[in-house]
Amino acid sequence: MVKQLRSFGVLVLAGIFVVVFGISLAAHAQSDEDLTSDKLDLIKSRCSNSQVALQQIEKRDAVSRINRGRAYDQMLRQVSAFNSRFAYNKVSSPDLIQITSDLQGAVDTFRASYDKYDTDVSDAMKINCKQKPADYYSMILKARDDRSAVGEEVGKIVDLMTQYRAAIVSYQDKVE
Amino acid sequence: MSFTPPYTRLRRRTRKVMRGPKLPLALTGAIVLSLMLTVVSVAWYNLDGSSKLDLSRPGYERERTEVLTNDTQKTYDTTSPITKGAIDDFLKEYDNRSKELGGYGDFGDGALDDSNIQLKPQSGSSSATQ
Repeated sequence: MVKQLRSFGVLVLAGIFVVVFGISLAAHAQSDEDLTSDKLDLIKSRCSNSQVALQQIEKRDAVSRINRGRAYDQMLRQVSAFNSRFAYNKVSSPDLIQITSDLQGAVDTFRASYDKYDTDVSDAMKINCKQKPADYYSMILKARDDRSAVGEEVGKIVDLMTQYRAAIVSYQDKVE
Repeated sequence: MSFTPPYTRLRRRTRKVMRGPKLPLALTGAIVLSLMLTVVSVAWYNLDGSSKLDLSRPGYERERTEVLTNDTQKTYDTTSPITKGAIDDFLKEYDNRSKELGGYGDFGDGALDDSNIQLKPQSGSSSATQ
């Protein structure tokens, strides 16, 4: 019985190893496929232009991040005050409190995701892409993923704001 | 000449400094303290992400004008009764904010695509030039 269990464990471990190894190999093959020698030459030849374009994008994104952060803070202040008003008037509103908590979490995640993305862009600009085009492009791919994570968080906040609005409208029928 | 251990010598020297004029000691203390505080504040500025959003840096003149500032912090009534009118007022401001947010970049526009960062081969040319 013990022997059977042991051999089963070994089989499971071997299976996990094969799957993980296969996935990493496939990912490596994909990145090799993406970075052809033509692409590397292109990166080398347009290195400075690319980094200038990256800098412009970073500046534009910083403006969006600052404006969004300020507007989110104001929105959370308004929403929290309205929740307090519900509580003061002894109107039970657990749904509003839950959505507000989710909103706060999503705004915090948005900030953290942006920091991560901005670090990627800064790191990419520090790389000498004439000498290390592959490193540069790999950092660009990372920044692209992290930027889309920021975008997803923005979408999540929009959804939560819509939910909060719908919940408030439903209370409109309950009050005098 | 008698031998004095280093610890005793250091103690004597410290005592001499303590008994001497206090101004140089106070100045040195103030400089060391201010240096320590500067190091802590610069490290904090860099580590907490403030440096990434600091548009007062040189080169960000145009971006500074695009950032909307709101000097007055609005205070909200938290004790008045909940009425339809109060909910309408809330929704009016809430919708304005949603509209305002819609005007800012949403980070979902593929800004880092190859074409936007000058890494897409130009059509009709085999080799790229800078």
